[in-house]
Amino acid sequence: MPGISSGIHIALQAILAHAQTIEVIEHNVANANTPGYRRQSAILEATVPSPILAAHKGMGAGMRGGGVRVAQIQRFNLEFFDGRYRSVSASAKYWEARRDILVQIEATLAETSQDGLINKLDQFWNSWQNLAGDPANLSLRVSLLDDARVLAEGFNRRWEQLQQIRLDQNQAVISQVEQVNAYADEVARLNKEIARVFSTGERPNDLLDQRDRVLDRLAELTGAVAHEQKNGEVMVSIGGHVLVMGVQALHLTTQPKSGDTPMVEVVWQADTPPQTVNLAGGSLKGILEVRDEVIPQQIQGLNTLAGQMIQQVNALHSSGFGLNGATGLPLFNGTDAITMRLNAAVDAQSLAAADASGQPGNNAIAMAIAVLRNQPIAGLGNVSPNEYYNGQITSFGVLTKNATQNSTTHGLVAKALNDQREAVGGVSLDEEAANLAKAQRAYQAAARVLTAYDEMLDRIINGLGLVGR
Amino acid sequence: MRVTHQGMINNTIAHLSGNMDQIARLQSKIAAGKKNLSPSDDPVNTSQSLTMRSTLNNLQAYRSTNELTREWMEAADYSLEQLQTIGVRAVGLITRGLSDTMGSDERQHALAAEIDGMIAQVVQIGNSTHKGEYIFAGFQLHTQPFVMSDPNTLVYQGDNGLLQRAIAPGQSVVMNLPAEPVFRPLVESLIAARNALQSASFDRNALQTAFTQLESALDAVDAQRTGLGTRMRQVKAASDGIDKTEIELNSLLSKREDLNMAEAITLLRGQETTYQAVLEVSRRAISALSLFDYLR
Repeated sequence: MPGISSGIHIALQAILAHAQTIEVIEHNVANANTPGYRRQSAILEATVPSPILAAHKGMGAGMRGGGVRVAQIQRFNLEFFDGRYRSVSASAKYWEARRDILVQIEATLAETSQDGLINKLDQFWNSWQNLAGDPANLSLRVSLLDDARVLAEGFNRRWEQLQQIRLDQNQAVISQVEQVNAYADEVARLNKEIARVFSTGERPNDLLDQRDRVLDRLAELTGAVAHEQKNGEVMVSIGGHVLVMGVQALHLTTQPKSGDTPMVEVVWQADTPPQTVNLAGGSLKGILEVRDEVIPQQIQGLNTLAGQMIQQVNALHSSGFGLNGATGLPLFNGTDAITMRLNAAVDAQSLAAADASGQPGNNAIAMAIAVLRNQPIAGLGNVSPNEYYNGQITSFGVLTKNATQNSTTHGLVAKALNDQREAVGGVSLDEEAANLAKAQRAYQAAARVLTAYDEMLDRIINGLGLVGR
Repeated sequence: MRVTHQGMINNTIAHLSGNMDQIARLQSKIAAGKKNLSPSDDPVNTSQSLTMRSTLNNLQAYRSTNELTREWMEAADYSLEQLQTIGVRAVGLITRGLSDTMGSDERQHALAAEIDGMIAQVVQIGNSTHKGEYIFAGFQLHTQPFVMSDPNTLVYQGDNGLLQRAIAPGQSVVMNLPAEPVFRPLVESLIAARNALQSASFDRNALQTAFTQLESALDAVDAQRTGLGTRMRQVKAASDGIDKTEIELNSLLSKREDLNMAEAITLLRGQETTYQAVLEVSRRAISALSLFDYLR
C-alpha cells in the first residue's frame, strides 16, 4: 500500500538530491577559473525499489520506486592524460629553460651588432695593418694601443658576463631545489589526507585536484613521474629514485660541486654518500646543462682564443723593436680571457713594429702581426682567430636555434595535451547553466509534488468526517 | 569536443600572444633593417655575413695603406723626375765644357759653379721628405740621408732599407728604392766633372770620364724610375681590385643581411590584420556570452 508519508519522503528526497546537484553546479561555477580544477558532477540514481503487496493477489503488483538519491559526486579526470601531459611538459620546460638562458647569452654577446668581439678583433688587426703602412706614425701607434686595450677589455667583459650568467643560473638551481622540496612536502601532506578520506569510502575530489596541480609543477621542474597506489596515495620518483612515498617526502639538497666552486650540484639528502639526482627532464635539468656544459664550453672557447692571441701576438711583438729601441716587451699580459690585459709598459714609442733596432721605417713585425688575422693557428685547430670565433658564434647560434625550435614544438604538444585535459575536466559555463536549469526545474517539480501531498493531507485531516456538523 | 571557458580563454590568450610575438619580431626587424636579429635566427647566414664583414673591414685597412703607399711613391717619382731634369742639364753643360770653343775662365768659373749648384740640388732632392719622413733614407725615416761632409765627399746616413707595404691580401710591394746606388754615382760624377772643370790645367780626359760616369748614373736613375712606375701601377691595380671586391662584398652582404622592407612591411600589415581579427573574435569568445544570460 502506498502511504502518504512515503510519498512525502520521496518528494523530500528529490528536493534534497536536486539541491545537492545545484550545490555541485555552484561549486563548478565558482571554480571555473581555478587552475587545475576538475569539474564535478552529482550522479543521481534511483533508490532501491520495494515490492508492492497486492490485497487481491498473493504476489506483489510490481516494484515500487523509492525516489532518487545522489550516488556519488564524480570528478572528471583522465589519469592517462595526466601522465602523458607531465612527460611532455617536462621536456617543454627543459627546452624552455635552455632557450631562455641561451637567448639571454646571445643578447649579451651581441655578435651581430657593432659591439661584437669579432669587430674588436677586426679593429685590432686593421690597426696593425695601418701601422704597417706608416710605422713611424705616432697617432697610429696611440690608436693601436687603444684598440688593443679595447680588445683585451672585450675579452674580459665577455668572460665576466658569461660567468655572471653562470652564477645567476646557480642561484636558480638553488631556488628550484627548494621549490621541489616544498612541493614534495605538499604531496606527502595531501597523500595523508587523501588516504584518510579514501579509507572512509569517500572521494576527496578537491584534494585530488590540488595534488594533481602540485604533481604538474613537480614534473615541470624535474620530470618527476607519479604512480597512484590502491589506497589513493601517489608515489613520486625522479629518474628512478623515490621522492615521495606515502606520507614521507625525501628531500633534494645542494652541495658545493668539487672543483667548480661556487657552483652547486643537486643530490639526495638522505643518501650517504649523497647521490647525484638523475633528472629526467624539466627546467632544473635545462638550467644545469646550460650552466655545466654550454656556458663552460663558451668560456673555454673564449679562453683558448684569448690565450692563442696573447701567445701569437706576444711572440712577434717581443721579438720586435720600438721606435725607442725597446725590445722583448709582450703586448699583452695574462693567459686567458679574464686575465688578458694590455701591457702597461708598452707605450706609443716602445710599440714594436720593426724587426731591427733603430729603423723607424721598418714595419716587418707590424706586417707579420697584421697577417695573423688570416693565419691558421695550430692551437685553434688550424683555423685563423677570426674563423675560430666565427665558428663559436655559429655553433652557439645553432644551439640557441635548436632550443628555441624544440621549446616551441614541445610547448605546442604540451598545450594540445592540456587542451584535451581541459576538454574533459574543465568547467563549461554553458553546460553548468543547462544543468542548473534542469536541476532547478526538477527541484520545483518535487516541491509541487510535496504541495500535492500537503493538499491531500489537508483534505483527509480537515475535510473528512464533517458530515452534519 | 567539449569546449570549456577556461580552454577558450587559454586559446585566445595563446593566439593573441603568438600574434603579438610575430608583430614584435617584424617590428624589430624593420626598425633594425636586418633580416636576422641574432645569430640563432640563421646561424649559417650569420657566419657567412660575419666573414664578409671581416673581409670588408680588412679591405678598408688595405685601402688606407694603398693610399699612403701611392702618395709616397708619387713623391719619390717626382724626385726622380727632378733628378733626370738636372741630369739632362748637366749633360748639356759638360758637353759645352768639352768643346774647344770655351775659354778656360768661363769653364773654370761659370760652368763649374753651375755644376756645383747642381750637386747641391741633387743632395737636396736626396733629402726630400714626405709628410715629415725622408723618402730616400731607407728605414731611417727621421735621419737626413745625404750630407756633404766636405765639397768632395758625400756621406749617406740612411740604410738603403726597402719599405715593404702590404697592398692586398698576400700581395706586397716595395714602395721606396735603394737610394745610395742612385744618388752616389750621380753626385760623384758631378763632383768629378766640377773638379775637372775647375782645375787650372784643363784635363779633358778627366771631364770625359766624368761625362761617361754621369751618363751611366742617369741610366741608373732611369731604371729606378721605370721600376718605381711599374710598382705604382701594381698599387693602382691592387686598389682597383679592392674597390671591385668591396662593391661585390657589399652587395652580397646586403642580400644576406638587409631586410626587404616592402616585404616586411606587407607582412606586418597582414599580421596586424590577423591580430585585429583575433581581437574581434576574442571579444565575442570571452565576452560574458553564455547560456546564463538567456535562461530565466
